[in-house]
Amino acid sequence: MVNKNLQEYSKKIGDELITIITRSEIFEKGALSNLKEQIDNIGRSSDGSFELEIPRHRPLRILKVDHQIISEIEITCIIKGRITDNGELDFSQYSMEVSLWSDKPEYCYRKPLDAENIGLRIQNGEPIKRIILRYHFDMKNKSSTIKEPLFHFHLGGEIVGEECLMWHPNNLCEPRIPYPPMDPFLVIDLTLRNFCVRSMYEIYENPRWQSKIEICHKLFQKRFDQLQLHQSLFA
Amino acid sequence: MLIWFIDDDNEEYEKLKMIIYRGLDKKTCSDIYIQNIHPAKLENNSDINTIRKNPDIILVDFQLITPEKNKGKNHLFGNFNGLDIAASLRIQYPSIPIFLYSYSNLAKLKAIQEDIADAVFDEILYKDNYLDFTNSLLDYLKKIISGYSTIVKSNICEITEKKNQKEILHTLLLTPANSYDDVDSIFAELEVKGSAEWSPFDISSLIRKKLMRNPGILYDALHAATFLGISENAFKSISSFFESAQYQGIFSEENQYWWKSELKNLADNIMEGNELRIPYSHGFHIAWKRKFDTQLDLAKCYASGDTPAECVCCILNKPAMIRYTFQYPDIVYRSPAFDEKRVCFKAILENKFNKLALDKDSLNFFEKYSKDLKNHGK
Repeated sequence: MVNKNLQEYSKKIGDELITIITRSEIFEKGALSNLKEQIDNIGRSSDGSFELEIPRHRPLRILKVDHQIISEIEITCIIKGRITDNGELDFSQYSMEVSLWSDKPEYCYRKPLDAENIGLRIQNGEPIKRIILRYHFDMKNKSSTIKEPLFHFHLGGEIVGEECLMWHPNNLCEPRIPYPPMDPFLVIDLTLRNFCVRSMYEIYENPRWQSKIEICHKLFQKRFDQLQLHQSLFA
Repeated sequence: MLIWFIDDDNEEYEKLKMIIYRGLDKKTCSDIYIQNIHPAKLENNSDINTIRKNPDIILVDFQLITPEKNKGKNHLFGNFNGLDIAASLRIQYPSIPIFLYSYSNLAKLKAIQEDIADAVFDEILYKDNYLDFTNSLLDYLKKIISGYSTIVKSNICEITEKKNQKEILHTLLLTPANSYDDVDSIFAELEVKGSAEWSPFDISSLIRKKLMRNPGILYDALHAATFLGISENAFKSISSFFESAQYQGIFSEENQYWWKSELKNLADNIMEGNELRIPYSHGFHIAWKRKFDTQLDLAKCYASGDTPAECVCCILNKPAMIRYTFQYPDIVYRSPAFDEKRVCFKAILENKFNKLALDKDSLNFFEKYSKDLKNHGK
């Protein structure tokens, strides 16, 4: 017996939203087909299992950004668990990341702080890009001793190689701000509305897009209110 | 100029002469000859020999021979109308503009007839529009003849190499560099049809019916204004700013158009900072105010009354905000170079569009919109 929520999600999101996104030409094509395949599998789930992974080595990449500083945006995620017929989210793993890249030399290299060889590479005309900022949308870590809201977002994250500029201090992950969980499409919608306004306005203002985003919202967020999330910090 | 007028009604021939010759001096009148051709009189060679050959333009009536007018004739094939001979005429005269010329109440075409008409006629002209002499039929016909002449002189139909044909097309259109790819994409559609030989009619149709009638590469004043988020009047008041964006190519005398790519460039030149990050419909008027200290009248959404509108309803031909429109369910392929056709919710309320064509999700949005309208007493 197929989970009707997931069936609707798979049909409307997998078939329609991904088609709209693919046609938009601002997304790198590769990761979208992988995403579609996973969404199709979700639709066939009989026990409500929900597994979505966009790994860091193969992120969903937005290549055309309407921003003076940001040149590329990457979205990665790992969501594992179940969504019941009643819409209860029972996740064993939940993590979304939005990484903002810049290829502007003045943002890739800070003379007093960064390794000298990066400055030299830029001087030599080598194209360089670095992650300026990374946002995380996470679920409370069950084994964590630190109080965390059940679902939250924060800045920061670990530095991995010299690609990460991380203007934000490496070991500052607070505050963790209560925020309802999102699926990749809610994150895409949020990203487009912030960073791709001119190129994607006609897409996300379209009632058809909004009606599909409502489906994602219904599945992931409807059961949560801000107070409940805030109070989970003290639980 | 030689005009062929194919009609079975002599009274209509006299009316056409009146429309064409009105206000012209004797010399000019003598330069224009209207050849009346009664379709039933084409059976004898002697009749055919009286007809002047090599017309510059052909006007064909819709209702040519009706059973009521020709009692005793074989009615097996029903009425004989302009569409029946259109295909033959088009094959016979590929380099001449051919128009269906009829009264609007008589030329009510079925869908299949519209397809045929679109495939063979340059346009359907309605006699009603010219009877009060407000519009000059002669001026209009001259513009079309001039365009065809330019196409023929360019030899675009004689050259076989696609690359050279594209170059000639760009020369005819005076395509700006930023629009080359878009124009190439619609040119490619002609190739997909598989025509070994293209006629001046094919090129004319590509330009007049495809490029000019489908906003996205060229914009008329309404679409240009709405793209910039301002009213049509506001756009006309600042049209000199966009002079270099104006379309000056073939058939440009027919109507005013602007290249979308050039509108964008000119708008970008005065926009700064965050204005460059938001849609032109939202940012251009802000930039204009900052630069010239003038508040432009904004495009008003026909569905909500809010400003600025962002697109034009393809049915009502009125500005609308995207959130109050839905995608027109087009079954015909459209090049992505053209703007998506959108239909305003109000078109449904005004019974100009059937809401059954909407998908379930769009229908929900429409129902919410209608409810909001009722609640706000609009």
